[in-house]
Order: sequence, then structure tokens, then C-alpha cells
Amino acid sequence: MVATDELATGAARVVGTKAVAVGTAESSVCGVVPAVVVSPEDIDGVSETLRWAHGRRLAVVPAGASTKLEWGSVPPRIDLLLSTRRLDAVLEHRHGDLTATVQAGASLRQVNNRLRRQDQWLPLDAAYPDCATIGGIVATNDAGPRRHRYGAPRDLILGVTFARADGEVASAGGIVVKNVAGYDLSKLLTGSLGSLGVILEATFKLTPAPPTSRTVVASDLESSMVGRAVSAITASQLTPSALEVQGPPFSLLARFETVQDASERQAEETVGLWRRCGAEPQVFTGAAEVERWKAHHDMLWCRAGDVFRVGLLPTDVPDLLCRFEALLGRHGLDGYLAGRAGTGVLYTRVGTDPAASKLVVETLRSVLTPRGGHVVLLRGSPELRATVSAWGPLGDAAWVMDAVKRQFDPNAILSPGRWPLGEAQV
Amino acid sequence: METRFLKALRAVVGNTGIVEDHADRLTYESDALTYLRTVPGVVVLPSTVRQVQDIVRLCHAAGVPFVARGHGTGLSGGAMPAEDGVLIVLTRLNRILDIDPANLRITVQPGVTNLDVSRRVAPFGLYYAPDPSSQQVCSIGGNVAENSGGAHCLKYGFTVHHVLGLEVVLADGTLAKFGGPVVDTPGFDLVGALVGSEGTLAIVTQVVLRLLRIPEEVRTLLAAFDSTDSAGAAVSGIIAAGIVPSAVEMMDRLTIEAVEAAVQPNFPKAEAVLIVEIDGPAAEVTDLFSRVEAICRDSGSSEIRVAADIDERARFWSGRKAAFAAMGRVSPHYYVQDGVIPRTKLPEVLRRIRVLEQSSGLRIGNVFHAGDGNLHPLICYDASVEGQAALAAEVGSEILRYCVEAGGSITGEHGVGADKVAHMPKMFSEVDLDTMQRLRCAFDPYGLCNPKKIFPTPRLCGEVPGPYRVHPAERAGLAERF
Repeated sequence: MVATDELATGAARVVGTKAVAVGTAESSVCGVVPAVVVSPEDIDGVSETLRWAHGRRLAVVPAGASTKLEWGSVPPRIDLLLSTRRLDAVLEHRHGDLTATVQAGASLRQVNNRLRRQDQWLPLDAAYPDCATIGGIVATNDAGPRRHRYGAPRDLILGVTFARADGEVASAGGIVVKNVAGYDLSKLLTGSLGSLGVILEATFKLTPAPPTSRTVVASDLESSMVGRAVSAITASQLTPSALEVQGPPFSLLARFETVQDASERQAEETVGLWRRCGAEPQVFTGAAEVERWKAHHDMLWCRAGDVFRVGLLPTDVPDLLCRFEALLGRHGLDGYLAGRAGTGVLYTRVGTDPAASKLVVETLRSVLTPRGGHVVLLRGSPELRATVSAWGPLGDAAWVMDAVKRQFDPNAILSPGRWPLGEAQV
Repeated sequence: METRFLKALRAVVGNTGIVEDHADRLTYESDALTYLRTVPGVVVLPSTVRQVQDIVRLCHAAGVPFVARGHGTGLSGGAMPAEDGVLIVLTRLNRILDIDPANLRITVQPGVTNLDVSRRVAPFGLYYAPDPSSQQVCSIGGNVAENSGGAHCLKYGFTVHHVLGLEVVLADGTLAKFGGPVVDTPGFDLVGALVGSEGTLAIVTQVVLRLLRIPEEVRTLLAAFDSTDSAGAAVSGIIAAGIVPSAVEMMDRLTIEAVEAAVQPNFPKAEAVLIVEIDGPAAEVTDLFSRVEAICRDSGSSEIRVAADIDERARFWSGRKAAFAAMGRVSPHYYVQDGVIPRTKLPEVLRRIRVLEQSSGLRIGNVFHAGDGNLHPLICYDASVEGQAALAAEVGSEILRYCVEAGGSITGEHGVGADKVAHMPKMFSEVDLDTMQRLRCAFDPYGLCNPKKIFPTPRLCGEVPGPYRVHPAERAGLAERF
């Protein structure tokens, strides 16, 4: 291990003293305090920092707003927390082409404020949208409720510029919506948790901002009713932008964002479908609707507790709700679940008792693994992390992932321990 | 090829699964880009995944290159065989393995035809969105290799947005699964990396596709314009109004003449026609469609026809989808180019193409996915005239230069293949290309899987630092080798 002051002096020689700070509890990742936080002001600064770190085999963890740095497994040691926060420009909004190129450190909020000037937006509603950065959202492939209609970051990204582990700056993809020249490394980097490169800029396909919105909410549903109400929507020709479940007690939310006539009619039709399932749905619009969605976000992300991401077939959702509710009841646990009922991505939040969280994750894994599902730890204490795998089984793709990692990061300096196989390697 | 090697292949696929005779092998010397040809050393037609694995294992052991081929409709020479290599034809892997309408998933083998997927799921009110013009014959495996697009990709995205999982045979014959019916599989998005890799990373043996519900309403119009500029202005107007149609296609006069001669879709005589299609919930379609009509009229459209029924819509589309083949009616030979520009640069690039048409003396028909800026100039030439074929290729290169200068791409959907290898440095730096090839080195360190495609200079993969060791994941029981 290299001494902190030696690292700070070395980094300052590379990017200047103003861009270097000693790590503090505030910049720690799940209890791991970085030796030094480096915040270069431009791409060259990131590149030079990496070049220097690569030669010395320092443990480098790229970071944006640090809202999701503990997702997955946690690096056991951080020599440099490499912040892209100062690279925060919206470089180009080509509104006629419905594309935009932005730097990694720009927040989603900032980007969408800019795009709204032309009635367009990047239709992602990732967790912590006020501060989460584009780089972090791409690195975690984090998508919120609107994923149902618009997809995840990997579906919207068109091109990427990133710094390799050795500091070389490379690009892949492009700025046009259609392009098959060369390997699409933007997809490979999306969701790679900073373990293959440091994302510097990304180009996205945009959508026109929807003129109106309506949300239908059905509350106090039995888990079996949730299944019927969800299939009533997915078997229809309705086109919700979001179809969310939350609870227990379980509620369903279906959002329609389109021209007024169409959002009204689709909301009405949903009310009819859900009444036939035995629910008493309500329609929200305007400020009340915005408030309803904010509460939906905050209930999951802004309360204390261990959080897991659960992937499963959409038709397995009702069974999972049932099991989750029973598990909480049987062990007297406090827990909450929310997510994409139509896509098959749920998030569970339980208390901070490691034993209880372990029980939940192991129970869910035992049910879902044989059915092709998975449970990934996003937020949890070091005690919990010591007892359960953050990722669960990886299957035979693990070999190829390992080979890819070795090619892109031969000295193993980027986000060591953070990517799936990293957990087993440290 | 070596007799012992051929004998081993024959043992794998049997006498009915191997093509050794030179005349028979000639059938496979090119894909739909017929000017690039190489006769394969041997052709094998495996009928099981296990056979694919065994063939690749033999190639791996003997250091023999291999190329996977689907239905051979590719337009970039991506399936052009390797000299003295094995051509692995996947047409016999053509089973639909599972249909799961409730989860909107289907699992197919690579030899299944694109259109067959939609046909098979139509009774459930579902369809498969990517619709390349060759969809009646092209294979899903080929679609995965090329990340195929089509007219309706403007709204619904490309193959990569509709593939959830892949089973592949790696370059050493190992079988691996990436992704699956469940989204967000932990780890790197190897599905995203593999789709569009043009068969250079692995051989796909199974594909899980996402299906869509057939929309409630579809409306299609055909608008005639007296110039490509005003048709282009209509496209910009539609996008600026916040409307994303499911398709916006443009054809110019030469192409219209050609398709009239070939399939008689009864298009109006005009300098340019647009086909615009809007789909979705009825109320949304009604609103947006009337606005699209108004925009076309305001941009100077001389005639707007709205498809009255399914048959008329099919006729509009038959004209568009037959465009490439129809060029044969007006020219003995033609070269299909595939380039992309930001759609706002359409008028500027079309003007440059027109100047080029005059200076080269070769007629150029333009048919393209106007909504996403994907141009398909059809360069007409007569191969019997000395030098014209070479001139056509030169004109094609020049158009690609315009695309790159406008901020676009050298290929939107046909791929780099063998055809555009030399153009890659126009778009990407040496570092970019080196970085991309690291992916290739991870998958295929010996460069046996569809060699000499995409990249102008192969990267020597070398040894990855660190001694080989038993993988910790294996030790921890997280993964096992097959």
C-alpha cells in the first residue's frame, strides 16, 4: 500500500493541487475511505491520472455523484476516487436529430433541463435524478419506471468516449441514431460499474417530451390481483410509459404519457380493466401525479435499509410478491418492494439487520435462480456483505467476462472488486 | 484441405452435412454482395448445436479459420468464406424452441427466418419489430450478427434492442449463455457487445427475442414532392413537431421509376415520395397522423395518398421493400451503398450526391430510411463497360466520405464486413480500433472466427499478463466449464 501523502503529492503533480483532496468519511464507499479524491477539470486530466495510476497499479474507482458506488460488490481498497464531476457540460443538443452528447459529470436533472428548452428529453428516470450523473447512470445501467416504454440506458446510448485503464482515450459508436460500424463498446461499458474504463462522454437518442400525462393507481391489492391487473394491461394494446408495483400492501401504477386525448382514453380504459379485476382505481394528473411518483421513488431510495435488485420473468412477479409478503410476516420483518411489473425488475428494501437481509436474499435466490432470475445486492452493510455474495451465481458467461476484463484492464486497477468476478478475486 | 481434417468433419456432420465438391462449394463463395468472392475450403451444415461445437473444436485444434453463414443475404461480405477455411452454414438450425406470449418472449435457433417469427406469434397478437427489407428470407442469426435494422426501427429500435439472450459457441468450441429471458443478468452486457459483431466473436446457436404487441392502429401515407429538398423539409418538420413515426422512408425519381417497372405499386410520378407510418393507440394515431398530413402539405407535397386498407398499405411497402432489386429494371448492374448522416444534413448530402452523379456520369438512385438518416444510394453501372465497376466503387467510397464529414457513419445496417474494412479509419482512430479489438482478443485470441472482417489491421492479442490459474469463481462454485 502506498502512503496517502505520497499519493496526494503524486496526483497533484499530474493534475494540479486544486484537483486533489485527501479522502474523508464523506467520500467513503461502504466504509472504505479512499486515500485520495482526484477531480480533473478536463479529459486530459482524467487520461493523465489514469496513465500515472496504471503504471503504479493503483486501485482507481471512477465516481460521479457517488449515489450508487456501493451497488454490487464493494472495492476492498481505494487509492484514487476518480471523480468526473467537473466534466459536466452538455456538449451538443442536436434537436433536429433527436440526439445529445453530454459529459459524464452532468447530472440527469441538468441535462433534461437543457433538453426541455426544445421540448425533448432523455427519458430516463434513474434513482436520485436530482444529483445522479450521466456517467454513473451509464455505469450502472440504472433505469426507473419509464424503462417500461423507453428502455434502459443501454437502449438509448448511441456512442461513448472513455478513458482506458492505461489512460488512452477511445470512442465507439457515433452521434447518429443508426450505426453498425465497429463493435458497440457503449453497450459493453453500460452497466460495467467502472471496471472496463472511465466514461467521459456519451451520446443518446432522445424523445420528444410528452405533452400530457395521466397515472392510474390501484391500491390495496392482493398479490394474486396484481398478477391479473398487470396481465390485463400487457395483454391489451395500451402503451403505458410505466407499469409499477409497490407494497405491501400492494399498489399498481400505470402511467400514460402522450397527446391529451390518448392519455385520457388510455387511463379510462385502464380504470375499466382494473375494475373488472376487483380494484378501485383512481386517476392522478398534474401536481398530485408528480407528487405520487416522487413518493414512489422516495419510498424505495430515500429510506434506510438494505436494497436488492431482483430480476425475474414478468409472469413470476405475483408469486414473488406473495412469497415476499409471507416472508416478512413469518419473521416479523419490516420490508418494502417496488419495481417494473411489466419488465420483471423489482427492488426490495428490508431493514438493516444483516441476518434478516441474508434470510431474504437467500430465500429469493433459492426460488429465482432455478427459474433464470437473480438477486443483486445494491445497498447493504459490510456485515451483510461478509455473509452473502452480492451477485449470486454467474453461469458460464463468467469466463468470457473475465477475459474481457483482462483485455481492458490488464493491471486490474479499475474498480477492483466492484464487478461480478471481482468479488471472487479479492 | 487436409484429408484427416475433412474426415474428422465428416464424422461430425455425416455425408449429408458436408459439401466438398468444388462446383458445389462455389454456391457459397459470396453472400448477397456478390463482387467479393472466396471459395470456402469446405462447407458444413450442422443440424445440432453439439455438431457446431464439435466443428469449432476441430477448427480450434487445427488452427483452421471458420465463418458462420445464415441465409446469405448480407450486403457487406460479412459471410464471405475464409480461404482454406470452414464455412459453417446454420440453415438447418431452424427450429422455434419456445413461445412465451405472456412474457412476450420467443426462443429460436439462428436459421429461423425473420418473418417466420412474426408469423408464428401473430395468433397471439404479437410481432417481432426489426424488419429488414430481406425479412422474408434473412435469418435471425444473420440479423444478430449484423444488428439488422429495417424501416420500422425509427420508433422501435434495432435488433440489439430486441435480443434478450444468446447461446453461443465460443471460438474454442465451448458453449456459453449470455443474458436470457430475464433482463439485467448480472455482469457485463455481452449480448449488447455480441449483437452487431458480424460473426467475429462467436457463433450464435440460440436467441431469445422480445416480442411486441401488434398496435391498435396503423396508418400510412404516401406523399409526393417536387424535390428531395422539400421532402426532406417535411421529415424535419415531423421530427420538430415532436412526432416519432414508426417509419419515414424516402425514394427519389429514379428509384420510383424502377419500382414501378418491377412491382407496379402505382406511386405518383414525382421527384420524391415519402412513406410515413404512424402506429399506436387509436387516439394517439388520429392526432399525430392529421398533424403529419398537415406538415407534408405545408412542405409543398403535391399529392398525399392515405392507405385505405391493409392491401393498399402493403402495396406502398411492396414498392419500398422491392427498391434494391428493382434497380435491375433500369440498370444492368448496381451497387448498394449504406451510409448514415444526422437527418438534418439530408438536403446538404443529397446535393453533394447529385453533383457526384453528374461528375461521374453514373446514375444514382436514392432510397433511404429518412427518419433515421440512413441513406441507400443505388449506384448504377454497366460491368461490360471497361472501368465502370471500379468507378461505381469509387463513387460509393466518395459518398461514404460525405457521410463521415457530415458526422455520420459508414454503415447503418449492412455492416462493415469485408467490404468496408478500408473505410474504418475514416471513422475511428487507431486507438479506437485497437480498443475494439481487445474485445475480439477476449473472445477469439487466435483470430479464427470470421477473420479479416471489420478491422483493417488485426491486433495481435498476445498473452494477457499473469499466469493461467484456476479461476476463483470456479473454485467458489460460481461458474463451471463446459
